[in-house]
Amino acid sequence: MKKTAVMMLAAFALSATVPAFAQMSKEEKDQCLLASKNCATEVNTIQQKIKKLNAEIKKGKKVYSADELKKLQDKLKEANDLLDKMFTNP
Amino acid sequence: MKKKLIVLSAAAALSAAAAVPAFAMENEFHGMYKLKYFLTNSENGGAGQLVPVKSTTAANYFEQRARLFYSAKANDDLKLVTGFEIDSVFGDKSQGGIDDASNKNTTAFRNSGGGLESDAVNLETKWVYLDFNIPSTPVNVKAGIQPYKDAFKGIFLDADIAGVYASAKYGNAQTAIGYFRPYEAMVVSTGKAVAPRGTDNFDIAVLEGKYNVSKDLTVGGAYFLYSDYRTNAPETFHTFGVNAEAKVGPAVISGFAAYQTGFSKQTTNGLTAGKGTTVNAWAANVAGKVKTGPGTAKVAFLYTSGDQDKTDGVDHSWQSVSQTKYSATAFTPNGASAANSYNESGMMLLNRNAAQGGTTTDQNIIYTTNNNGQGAVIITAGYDATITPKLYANANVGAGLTSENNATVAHVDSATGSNNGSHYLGTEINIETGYKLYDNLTASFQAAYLFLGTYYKNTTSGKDPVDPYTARVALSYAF
Repeated sequence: MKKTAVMMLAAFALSATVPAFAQMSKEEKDQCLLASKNCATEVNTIQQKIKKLNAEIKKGKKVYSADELKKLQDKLKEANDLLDKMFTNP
Repeated sequence: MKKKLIVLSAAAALSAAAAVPAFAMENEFHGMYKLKYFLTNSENGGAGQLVPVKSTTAANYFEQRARLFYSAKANDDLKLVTGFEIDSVFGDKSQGGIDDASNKNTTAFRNSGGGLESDAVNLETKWVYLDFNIPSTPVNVKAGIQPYKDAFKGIFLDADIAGVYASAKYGNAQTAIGYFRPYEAMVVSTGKAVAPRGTDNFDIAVLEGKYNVSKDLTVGGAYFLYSDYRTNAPETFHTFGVNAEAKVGPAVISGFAAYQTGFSKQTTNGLTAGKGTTVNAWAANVAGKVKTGPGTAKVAFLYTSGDQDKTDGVDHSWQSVSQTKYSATAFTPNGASAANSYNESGMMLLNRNAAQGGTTTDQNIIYTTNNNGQGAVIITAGYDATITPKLYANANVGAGLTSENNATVAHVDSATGSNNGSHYLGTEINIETGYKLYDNLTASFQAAYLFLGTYYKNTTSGKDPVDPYTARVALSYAF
């Protein structure tokens, strides 16, 4: 019994650590190859990063601690600064 | 049995640990691309002061700029930030190399590659700096070639510059200290640094402070040391200033006042400085913006002092940082290749506004805030409208004057043979409208017309020069 429990625990631990590559079902077309969409390794554009940060900050203290919110706000400022400097830095 | 279980658990724990790296490196790539098509009677893809001329055939050209940024982030407290730039004019230059006959380079380097087949080595370094927080302290350090814009809206220094800048936050207060080295002394004939390095430099040091009095009021101050000892005509002066920003109802009001004092033995703007000129200058600004209707209405005023009497041993003109490279004797500060800006104006032709540029073309009537020793008065008003989430339109109007006139810039009335007494440089009207084709891609149109003032009366062979204009179609991509 104990052995089974430990093995299940180990299997769970292993499964949790494997990155979720399977975000696209087999029936779907491979949008990542086709149109660079839904890639598991997708990176954010600066605009997506700003949008995501704004969305997370909106969740407020229900989800994040005050320190975490400040960190998100700092990251948002950093992203906005970079976007601004891309075009206005001489 | 127990042993097997322990081994199994250990293996599981190990695999879990291996699958989640403790120090995952975050690689961040961002960048921009801007393509502009110009139709203009006053710009040519270069940089510098725009000098009105008698008449000219309109130029048309395409200009592009790409900026690529890569950050190697070890964790939230440590990253290397890099930035690169590639500028080209369509059809301009390509395939640079050394010409066998003249043994000179054929100049297809920086800002090239727009000629047939491209093939130019034209990648410019923009930023390379380490950005890190010192553990257990509120201090952040940026060390390396970095962007820096002063606390006076960029009118003294707005540039990429090599140095070390440390800032700290303590509750509502922020402080910063920085040291920048724009240039070392150079042996012009060999192009090598004067030995021993670091003894005769152009140095800039900065101290800054900022305090949030309330959530609606921020006050601050800044000090700059400008010290150029590269030649036997040194220049050292100090810039002190205060600034503030306040929210008053729906409006945001901001401004600053700054003063400069020191000395210069350099021949700046024709000043008789050989015996040593005292620097005694100042600048002030106030601006307001308020959200109204579908956008933001804004007004702004900038004053930088100028110098009229070149022989009194006092330079009253506001000193702004500019590129001053390669000389064995003396430099001409405040001249070509500005390293300062005033973006708040919203102007395209009247003054150097880096926000309205975005490509190599960088030509304005008031090119530096020093304005050839004459100083400047810039009064502007505008409205930025967001018509739909995808469509925007901006309009600006602004007038420019010299604070003082001097003879270093040609503004001689051909009829009288003497300089025009008028300070009025001109009035610009401009518009910009843009449409977001995607979140990342904006197509836009810019146009500006500058009605020249009486400062330029009869200055071109007995006639007034033609009013400068520019029209630009642009594509801007950011990712």
